[in-house]
Amino acid sequence: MSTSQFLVLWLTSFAFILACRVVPVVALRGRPLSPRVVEALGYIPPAAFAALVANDLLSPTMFDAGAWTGLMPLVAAGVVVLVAWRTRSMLWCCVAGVAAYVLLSLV
Amino acid sequence: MQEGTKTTAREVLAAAWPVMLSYVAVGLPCGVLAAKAGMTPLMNFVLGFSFLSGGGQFMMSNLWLAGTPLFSIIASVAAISTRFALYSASLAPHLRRFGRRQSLAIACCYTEEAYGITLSRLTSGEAWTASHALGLNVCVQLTWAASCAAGAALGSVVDIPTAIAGFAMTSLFVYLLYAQPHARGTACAALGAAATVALCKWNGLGGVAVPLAALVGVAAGMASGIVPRRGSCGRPGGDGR
Repeated sequence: MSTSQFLVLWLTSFAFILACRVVPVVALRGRPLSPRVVEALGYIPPAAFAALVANDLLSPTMFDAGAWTGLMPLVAAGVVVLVAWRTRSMLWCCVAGVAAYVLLSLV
Repeated sequence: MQEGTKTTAREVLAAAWPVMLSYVAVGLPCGVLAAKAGMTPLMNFVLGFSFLSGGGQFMMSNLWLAGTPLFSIIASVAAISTRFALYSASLAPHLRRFGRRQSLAIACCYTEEAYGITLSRLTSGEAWTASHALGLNVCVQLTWAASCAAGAALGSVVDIPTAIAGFAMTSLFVYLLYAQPHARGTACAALGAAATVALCKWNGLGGVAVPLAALVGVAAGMASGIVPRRGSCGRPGGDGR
């Protein structure tokens, strides 16, 4: 990544996220949102996170190197779900996920 | 230092240290991955300090390493950044007790975890001032940026496999997905998004998979509220949320 490409990526992403952070605070000082808008906004996080998880775990070539190679990240993600259920800790989920990934890749 | 300032600093650090610790653990692999994508430690510090979204930063590196066009990376990162609009919308009513400048300063630099802490303190009626909220933001912001920069410095001298460093991000997303409300609408949004990603990737549309899937997921979640739950016809509150 060149410096100019980094600057384009950083400045556009920063400007967008800054608008997302600031505009609602300015616009909603004393003004409520319609229930349908609130409902739609509420579905953004699960949809975005599910899309990101699926993007990381699923690929047309995932089984090219064997069934276990394709399934292994899914099993490691399952371990993270178990840890999330038991601990509700972001830190332990990341540690357990990486540890499970490393250990399962040795199988 | 005045006694009041010392007390505020102690209270902020008491709330911030578990988050700071987890940011070191997640920020290091984030920086390692960014170094593999060609970002220097300085770039990582600047990005981490201003952008403040671990998910977005991991995503930039992963998509760059996968050869995704720059425009698609920006669109995908924008799609997942829209959740901050929701956070700010929910935070806005509680920030009315502070001045306009203080509210904007808090909104500009919160992370998801700092948002969670500040929102819970403000809604519970605890003595959580604008100084507390800003102090918390700055503590976790600096920790995150320094961890990313350290990871990038480490990544340029130690060869850590990209797949392993990248799975820290996948684990983070799995955790954030699990932390969403366990309701029918949420499940429909998540399943709709995941199925869309699979369809896009299997049909050669991987570059637009994430933003498109987020939109389809929102539509699926909204549609789930229209379809009545089995046995709930005519019953109020049967919208699944």
